[in-house]
Amino acid sequence: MPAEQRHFEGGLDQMGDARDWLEQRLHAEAVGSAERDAVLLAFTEAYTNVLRHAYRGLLPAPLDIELCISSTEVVIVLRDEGEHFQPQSTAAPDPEDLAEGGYGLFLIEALMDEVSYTPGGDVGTVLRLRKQRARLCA
Amino acid sequence: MQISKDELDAGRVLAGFDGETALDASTTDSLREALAELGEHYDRVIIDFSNVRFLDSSALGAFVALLRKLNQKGGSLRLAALRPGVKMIFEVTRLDRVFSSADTVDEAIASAAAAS
Repeated sequence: MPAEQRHFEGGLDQMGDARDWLEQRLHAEAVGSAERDAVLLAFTEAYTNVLRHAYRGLLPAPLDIELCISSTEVVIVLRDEGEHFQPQSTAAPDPEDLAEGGYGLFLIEALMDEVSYTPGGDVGTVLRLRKQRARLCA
Repeated sequence: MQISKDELDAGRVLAGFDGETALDASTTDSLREALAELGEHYDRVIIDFSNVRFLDSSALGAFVALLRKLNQKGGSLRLAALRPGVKMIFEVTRLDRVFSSADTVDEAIASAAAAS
């Protein structure tokens, strides 16, 4: 299955467009609703983190997205050109604390089967997200 | 993002989103503002999520802020008609333990009335 690629440079205003594109592709490849919801949320959290941490809210914020959907998995690779980002902790806040933030990295880890952050060379980070597709029959 | 309000009685309001709505970091500022206003003016708030097709952790934080505000006032917050993809974020973060929710708006209104 060849990978599809998209390039975005805008900020939060383009995130919805990117998510809509991803949702259409997941629908087209008949990815199940549970996996689809998980991928869309993890992708949005990842995109938001790139804008906040790699680019620190500055524009333009070039982001290359590669998507590969096979019969067994969904793989998304996000390549940015901002500051390298390597999360230190992805623990979830205690729900009783009613924390208003700190859920994003945890959600990415919890929703995906594999998550890796690697340096993108001189600048940036390559974030790879992999989600296993559910098997419908034995 | 537009939020409509329907005052059920003194201090109690049903709020909902006009049209299909995605709540993410791009809408968080306006969402926080709208929810803060609800928390200022009402003690018991029911939010109809039936038009919310997507919700991320940025938006989740805005609802947590509203819950904190209402808890401080001795009020209550009930979420109604969450779609599976929206319900998922509450479950994965385990915030479903601290938010009250109902399958339908009618159920949320009834449970809020019974609790008052």
